[in-house]
Amino acid sequence: MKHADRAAGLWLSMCTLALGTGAWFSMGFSMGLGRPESDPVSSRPGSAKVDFNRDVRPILSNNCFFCHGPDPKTREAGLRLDTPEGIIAPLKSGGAAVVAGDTAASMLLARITTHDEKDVMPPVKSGKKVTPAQVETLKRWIEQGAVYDKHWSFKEAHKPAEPVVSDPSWVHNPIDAFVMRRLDEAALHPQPEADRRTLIRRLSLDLTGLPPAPEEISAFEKDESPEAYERLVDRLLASPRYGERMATDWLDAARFGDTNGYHIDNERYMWKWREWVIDSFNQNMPFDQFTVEQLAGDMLPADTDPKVTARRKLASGFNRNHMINFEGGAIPEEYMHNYLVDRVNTTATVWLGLTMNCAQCHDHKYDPISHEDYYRFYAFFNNVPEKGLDGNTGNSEPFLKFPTDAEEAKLAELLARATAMDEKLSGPMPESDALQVAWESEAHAFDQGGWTVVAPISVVSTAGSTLVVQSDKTVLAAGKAPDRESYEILVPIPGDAAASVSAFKIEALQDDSLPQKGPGRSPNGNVVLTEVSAQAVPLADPSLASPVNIVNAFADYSQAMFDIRLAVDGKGETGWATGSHIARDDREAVFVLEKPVENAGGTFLKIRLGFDSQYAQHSLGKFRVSLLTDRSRHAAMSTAAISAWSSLGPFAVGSNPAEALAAPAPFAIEPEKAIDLGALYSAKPDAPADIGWKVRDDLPDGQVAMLTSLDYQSMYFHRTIRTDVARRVRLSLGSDDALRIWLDGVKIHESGLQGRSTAPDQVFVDLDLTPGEHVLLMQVVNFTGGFSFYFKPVADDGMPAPLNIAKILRTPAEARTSEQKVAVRDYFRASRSPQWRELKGQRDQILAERTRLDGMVPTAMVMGELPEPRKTHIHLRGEYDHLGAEVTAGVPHALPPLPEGEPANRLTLARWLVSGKNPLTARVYVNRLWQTIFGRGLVKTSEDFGLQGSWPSHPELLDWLAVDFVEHGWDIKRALRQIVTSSTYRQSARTSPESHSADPENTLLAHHPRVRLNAESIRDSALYVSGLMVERLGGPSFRPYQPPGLWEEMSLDPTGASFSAQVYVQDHGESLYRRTLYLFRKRTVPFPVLAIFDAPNRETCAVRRDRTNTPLQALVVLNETAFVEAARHFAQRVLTSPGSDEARLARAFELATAQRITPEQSGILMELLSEQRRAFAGSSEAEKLLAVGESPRDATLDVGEHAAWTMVCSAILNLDQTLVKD
Amino acid sequence: MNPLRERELLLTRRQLFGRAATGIGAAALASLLNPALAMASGAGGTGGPLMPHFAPKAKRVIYLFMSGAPSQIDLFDYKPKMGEMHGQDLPDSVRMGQRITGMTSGQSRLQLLGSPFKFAQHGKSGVWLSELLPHTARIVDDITLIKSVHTEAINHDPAITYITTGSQQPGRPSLGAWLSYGLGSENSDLPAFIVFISIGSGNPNDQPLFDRLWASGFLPSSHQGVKFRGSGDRVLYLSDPPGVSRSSRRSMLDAVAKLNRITLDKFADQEVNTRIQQYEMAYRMQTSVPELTNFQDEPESTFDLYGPESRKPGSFANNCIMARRLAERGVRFIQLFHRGWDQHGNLRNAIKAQCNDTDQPSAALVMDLKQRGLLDDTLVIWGGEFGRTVYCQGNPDDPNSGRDHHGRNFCVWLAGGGIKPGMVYGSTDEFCYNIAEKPVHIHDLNATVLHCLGLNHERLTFPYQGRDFRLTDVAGKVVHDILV
Repeated sequence: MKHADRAAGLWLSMCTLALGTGAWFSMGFSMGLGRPESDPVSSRPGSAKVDFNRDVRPILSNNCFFCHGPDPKTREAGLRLDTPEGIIAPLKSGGAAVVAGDTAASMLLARITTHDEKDVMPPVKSGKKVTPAQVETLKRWIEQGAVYDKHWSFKEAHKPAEPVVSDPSWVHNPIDAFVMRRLDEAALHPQPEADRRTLIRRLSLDLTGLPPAPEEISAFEKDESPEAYERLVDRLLASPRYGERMATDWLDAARFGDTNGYHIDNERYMWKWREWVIDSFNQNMPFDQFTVEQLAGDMLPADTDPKVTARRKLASGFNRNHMINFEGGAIPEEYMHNYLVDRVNTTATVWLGLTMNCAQCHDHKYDPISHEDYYRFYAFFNNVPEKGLDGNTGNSEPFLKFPTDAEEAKLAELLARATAMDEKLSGPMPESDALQVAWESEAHAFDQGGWTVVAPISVVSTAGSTLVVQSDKTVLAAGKAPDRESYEILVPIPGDAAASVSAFKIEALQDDSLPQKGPGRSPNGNVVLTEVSAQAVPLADPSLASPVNIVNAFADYSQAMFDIRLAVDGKGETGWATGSHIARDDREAVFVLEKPVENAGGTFLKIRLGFDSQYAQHSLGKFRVSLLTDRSRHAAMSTAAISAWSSLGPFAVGSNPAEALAAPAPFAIEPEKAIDLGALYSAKPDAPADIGWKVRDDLPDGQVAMLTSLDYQSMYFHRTIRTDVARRVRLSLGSDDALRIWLDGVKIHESGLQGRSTAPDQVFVDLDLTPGEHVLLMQVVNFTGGFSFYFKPVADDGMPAPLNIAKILRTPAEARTSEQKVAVRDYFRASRSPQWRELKGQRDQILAERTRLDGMVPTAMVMGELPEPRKTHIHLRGEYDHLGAEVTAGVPHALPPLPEGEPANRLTLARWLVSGKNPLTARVYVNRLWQTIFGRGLVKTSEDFGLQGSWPSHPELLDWLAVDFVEHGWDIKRALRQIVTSSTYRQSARTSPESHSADPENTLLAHHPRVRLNAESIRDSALYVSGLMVERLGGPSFRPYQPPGLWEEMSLDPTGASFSAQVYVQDHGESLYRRTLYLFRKRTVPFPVLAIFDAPNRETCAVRRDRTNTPLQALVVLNETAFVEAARHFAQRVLTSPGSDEARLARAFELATAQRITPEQSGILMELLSEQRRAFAGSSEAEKLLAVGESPRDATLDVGEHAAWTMVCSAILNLDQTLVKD
Repeated sequence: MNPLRERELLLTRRQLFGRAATGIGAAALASLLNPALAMASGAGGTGGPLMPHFAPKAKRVIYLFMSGAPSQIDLFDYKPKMGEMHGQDLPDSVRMGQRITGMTSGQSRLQLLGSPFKFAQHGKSGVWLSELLPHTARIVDDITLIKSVHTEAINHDPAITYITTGSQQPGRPSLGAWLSYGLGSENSDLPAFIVFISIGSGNPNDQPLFDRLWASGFLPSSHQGVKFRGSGDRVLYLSDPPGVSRSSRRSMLDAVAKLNRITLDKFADQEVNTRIQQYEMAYRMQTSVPELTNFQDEPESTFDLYGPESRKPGSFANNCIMARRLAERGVRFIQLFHRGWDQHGNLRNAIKAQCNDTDQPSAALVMDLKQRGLLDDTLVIWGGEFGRTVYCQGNPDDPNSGRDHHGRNFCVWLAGGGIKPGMVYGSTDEFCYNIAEKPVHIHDLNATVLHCLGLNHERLTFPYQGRDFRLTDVAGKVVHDILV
């Protein structure tokens, strides 16, 4: 006896033994195992004709092919038994393995029957043995001519004629004829049709996953028309619940999950793809289209309707459902290989029913799939623009946004509104434009007045340039050009003793003598001025020279990353670059002194220009110095002086964005309350306070400041602003993600956006400053992904025009270029036009809202094709880093070829699978439909149609169904309708002793199989029966009640600071009562209720589930929160309906089982009810039971009574009849 | 509970079982009609479907799994020369192009880090052990220390999946599931395969664990490991809902059983009978598990033996006591996962904290089993998924530095259940980087474990997708040298 059968036998025997001796969990699994098995009819002695495929090949495959099969590397003695030529070929040792009609000459028989341990086949050490019955079969086959046949599933399917049967009146459709023929052969009879209550419950559960409602039962019972049953079938097939029911099985096959699996196992978002599956089943999308869109929807030509195109791309997410790794230190190539392997294995299992995975490392041992075939198939999927390690934050490349129609319309509307405002913002604005004209002349006057060009008294080069003061007061450098340089320039303060200087200007000028005309001395003409400083030098005693602070600097132009402020930052290596190699022009820079320097009867200004950068020879070639002698202009020029940033943090915040903003978790760090730059903070409540403010001079204004990117982190930034006059400073800001700003302790801005990438001008904030010093505090919160901000003061009411604008204003208005006009207008409007600012503010708000909505649009991973296909090689021994010969995409040689003239790509593969020429796809899928309805397929090993798979219980029926399916356009609902309207399906589940004896596994279907509901249906039924269920088609996954700590005790990041789906946050309200199909599937820690009821963990493709029967299952239905809550509501539902105890019991029983309660059953439950009433009467315990679950209780119900009924209803939910479908 | 009521409950149960056992009704009829059943009924009902292939030395296993990979260099594999060469570069001739993880592949130097811990010889066998393991030192004469275990995987997820299931990729049954499938349980009130998780003090966030490490893969899901938890229900959903008394539960289950028997009579479906009994087992578990997890019957000396943490539910030490109690009750496979061994940084402090968690309880378990006469037929295993590098992650003189992953050699110790006492097996080169002699692949280790339990690893197979799968894939050699 094979051990698979023994296992089944054992548990059966143990069931009848006294308790206490049985093996515990190893008892009672009723799913079959994947081994070819004997046929209940043909294995009976005396059967005449041997069928090679059914009877002989399984014996050869299981016992011989490992050494005498397709894999040449393990082929012994050159003998090959898996081909018709091989099995009759002359042996090296003489004779042949098989000689047709001659058992005595067939060496095969001699070797398997010999008693010589050295010679016997299969070898002793293989542990395999050919049974006497199998020897007999082989003998008869040889006697009958040893006809060799191609493996059945690789042969084209033909529609067989409907067989003649013993009782044609039983035949409702052709399915029944095929079934009855097999029953006739076994001298068995089908059961009569089940009663209507059984039928409606069976049908409702099979087609929708939920039991029928009492009203539906009575309507069906009363419907006497001959079409009553068919109408019921049509109603159920048309229900949206049908799509949910069908999707459940498909999600197993597609290894759908809500997390990335592997090591970190954080969250991903594929629920839009799940919606696609449900919708497609509900719309009865033909299976060929269903296939092509999922395997290659991204490659289909674009449809005229972009929505259709988008949906097809969404469908292609099927092959992105595999796990994706982001373990630190893992090697990307290794995981890329794993993803490819998963796609190959999944696609082969789901559509071809082939165990192609066996050929990953070597030629298949049993099936005609070579190692090379495997990698040819692999090549189809090897062109996705993906990364080997990805998924640290949500979805992995490539993925797309999939807005709903409503979302799309809203986004478009907001964009249109913003665009319309953009036009206004750049169009004429009479009020503002009039102000601009006045301002321009004022600004021009300011720019022109108050400056005096001075001739230096001396200019000294410290590195050896020759500096000559020209007649036009400019200074020209000549001679050798040192790599590094500094100039010391002494200029007089013009005027009398009362005169003063409050700023100086350096003009960098072009000259023909300089490389590229300069103004720099470097070969490209560029200048990097690294540091500017000044001293006041009294003529009377130069030794009393005192430093002069520079508080501000402006330039007409700064090269990116070389802002003018870097020339006054006190650091030698950073500086201002003129960018002369990019745009050739004269440049000017103004340096504003903290206080005017008085002439005081003879004071000189000594200016030092340093050129100390890493860029050699970037010193000034020609320049001129001017001094601002009109001190009335000083206040305006000494704009708000802003200190360098200090930063604090990062600190972890909660992974829920709302919470993250509400208060930094796990505890509050609130420098905004009171800023103390000396204070220390701790990272966690129990950690030492060792985090303090740090001065940050690495975060220059006007550049995106990149922070160390950690998910769910918050950082604070501080700086002071000092001004001598009242002014309004306008900041341009950007952030990734949320941003808050306080000025002097008052919050003046907050934008809590997720998924924003930093860019300039995302937000404008005005700082209204009074004279004095102000404190600016900024908080940036990163949710996931990049962590950065942008900060730049862009306008200042008190300020004169910036130099670049002032320069334009020196050209008369009519002579300006249109670019210059726009620059002046934009500057004016942004800095000085209230009308424009208000409109701009509105427009920014609209765009911010659009960004917020856009960030909420769900994404889903999709397939894509690289423009240049990746090369694919054979991977020796299946390993990622052992490459063999290069291969091109193709299908296994044993199957029909791809159509000629079509490119060998994924789309062609998808079309080939459903071309109808492929012998496997239709058979494999109708078999799974059969499995969905009957609990097991006609081929029991629904994942393996290869040589080691099960022989079909009804081969002709399988072929008939497959061909019929293709002939009728791959119509899934039609195929199901055919199955469930058959007499075979409609039989009673009662067993006759004869059929039990002849066919204990009910392979021949002499009665309807009793099948325990799947995990989803068990939970759904309890919720539905209780009235708690909230039906909402589609949507994101929900998180149910779950015992605390299950995720955290296993997760990498139990605080959830760095990764998602590490900390379990249960949902509340309606979500708790949604269908189980939508329950959050964390791959490394599956929801225990599902795991206990045999739902696969979705790490890899699964097309068949176990159906075990264990004590843990009992504990779930008895004690799990959702089931207890369901029992409580079930009781409430019953108690709030009128009637006697008996009537209420009958109703409860009917709700759960669809059956009328019998007096015996009612008696048992009545007794239970009175026991429970006694138990709960006057006891405070009842309230505790009724508090289970978060849904409210009807407080008008008596507590003891409600509790007693809760126990009774729980009993009903635990009945075999409730958990099983008859 | 009221003794009268207790008696009443017992009677009810006896009546119930009596009826099932005497075989009245369709249930018995159905079983009589099933020839497969008739054949199997002579086989007895206590074992799993396969039964041992030969006489086992061990009846059960306690596997102390050190998740995150303990540093063999700092605990077991004494390499004094590395102290002398501290700070020098790992010679290329030693590394031989071996791939290293993305965490140190970017380091410009691979500098040797001598163990900062002192080593000494212990016991009659004179085994060298680190000062971090004073308690393990007391049992060296009871264990076999293998210094030459190796694996191909270099990262946690594939490595731990590999050693627990025989494959780096998810989907295969775990060692415990194979044992449950092969041998069944000796205790009808408890699962055959029980798992515990504890969080290490050394690095509380490392490394994550996955359900697949105790999953049943393609074996029937009834063989998956059942997690015993440190808080809440020790077994998920074990407790009756609040407010429900034992007698209330009993009367409800009696009603369910009566109603289910009506269903059984109607359909003659054996699964109904199984369900009736599974509900009874669930009821018995509700009593047996709390009795098991209640340590009131343990003398003070037990807690002294297992150390200060042993009273704290969910701690490794507490789980070790639980493991012994489960072993006493015949549970086949008990696996304790202790997290926190991933010392990429802060090695010096973190490994000390890990040893504080585990050293005393691990040694105590061996001593305790021995004094109770259970060590002879209980196999105890201590080890992680791989080892750690002799070269330093970071600067060797920085106290916060650590060691990266190393699969080419690491240490595992075994005790009891057919294992030679006081033995060291295999050795490594002076850099603790390559195996010098007697390599033991993780498949060999698993083959040896199965062997101790009387199972031939090549014959413990399950047909799936057309192929006979086994724990050791297509490899594995029993290490007979370490067996008595």
